[in-house]
Amino acid sequence: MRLDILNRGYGAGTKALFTVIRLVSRHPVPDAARLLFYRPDFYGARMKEVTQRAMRGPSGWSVGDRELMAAYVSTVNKSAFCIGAHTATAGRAYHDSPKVAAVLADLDSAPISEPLRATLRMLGTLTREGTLTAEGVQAVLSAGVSRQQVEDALAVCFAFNTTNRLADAFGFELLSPAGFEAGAGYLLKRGYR
Amino acid sequence: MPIPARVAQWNKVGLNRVVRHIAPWAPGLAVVVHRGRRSGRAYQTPVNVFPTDDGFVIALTYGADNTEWVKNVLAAGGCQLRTRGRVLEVDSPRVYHDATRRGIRAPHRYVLGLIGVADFLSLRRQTAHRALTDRILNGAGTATRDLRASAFANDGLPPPLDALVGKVATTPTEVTEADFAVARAAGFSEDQLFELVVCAAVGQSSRLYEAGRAALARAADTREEG
Repeated sequence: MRLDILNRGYGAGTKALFTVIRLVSRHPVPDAARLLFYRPDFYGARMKEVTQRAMRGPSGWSVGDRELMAAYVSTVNKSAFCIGAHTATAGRAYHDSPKVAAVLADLDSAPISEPLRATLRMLGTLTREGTLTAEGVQAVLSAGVSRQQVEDALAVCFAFNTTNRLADAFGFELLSPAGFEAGAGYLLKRGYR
Repeated sequence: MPIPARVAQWNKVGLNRVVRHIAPWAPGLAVVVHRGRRSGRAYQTPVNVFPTDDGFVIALTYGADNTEWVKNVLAAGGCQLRTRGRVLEVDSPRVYHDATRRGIRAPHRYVLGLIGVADFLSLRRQTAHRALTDRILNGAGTATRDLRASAFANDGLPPPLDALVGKVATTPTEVTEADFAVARAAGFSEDQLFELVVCAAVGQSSRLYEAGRAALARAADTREEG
């Protein structure tokens, strides 16, 4: 990563934990996880809570839907690390990688429900343009999405607009496809805590 | 003042001692855990609470002025609330006067009307998002609070920080090693840059989040009217 403290500035306990994770998973600890362990009292601890609630907390959206939103927002931001991580996680959660690939390639023609399509479109507009009109949200509500579901999708959007920016600013190192798959397995089993 | 000062004093020493044991779990009651503005001492004050969509309203039965715990909560920007056997973090305290006592359920509204209570304190349940932004902006850090606030707002930063933070906020894929190198050369430490980049990312994303929530609120209002 572009700050040396993010590569080396960890205490002995955290370094030992990284070693255990590397031995057990047979993959290096992804930069996304390392960042959350750097001075966790400043950022990591609370961001984990934000992300866990958005991605795994109670919601009208499935885990797969929310991982797809994460992958979609990351695609709009062209954030390579997060695209890799959440494309893999959404594909696993749905047991349907082609569906995820279809959404990311062309949202309009992808085989997903209209409420989810309208919601992804809204998140894309917000992420790309930084604003959203009431009419834009109306269209989503009219597609059958509840107010709470819009709130939940906006929380996912917040978490990944933040993580995308940090991934690209700090320069997260990309993982191999096997590394992203292993990370996806972990995120589905253990979540973001 | 709806309840006379002498009664307030008696309450402080007598009634509160009893209520303090009931308030943490009884419906409609809560204990406000707050700290003295100057002493820093922890205090527990039993209160009436009414749940709202995103938090609680507390009836200020002794009025809004000169109530020490209210001053403490306003100064701290929040407090803990022990209610129904749980401990909740609440923030965004707001004192308001409402003679119609809107949002308070009928029997309570009637009782509060009889004793002439029309001052309230509203508090919002602290969301994970607000806990994060509050920490990075107001907690301890190596970068000054002013710099962190400017990075969060992507506004008013001196060069060369403005270039780095501007990219993090708007074109993060264009951030390069050189952006960090220039900032280091200007005397900023790695920890300061870590904090400022985090503030920039969270700040921009928070603006998107708030824009989305505002659009949702407007859309929902239109639907209810239509």
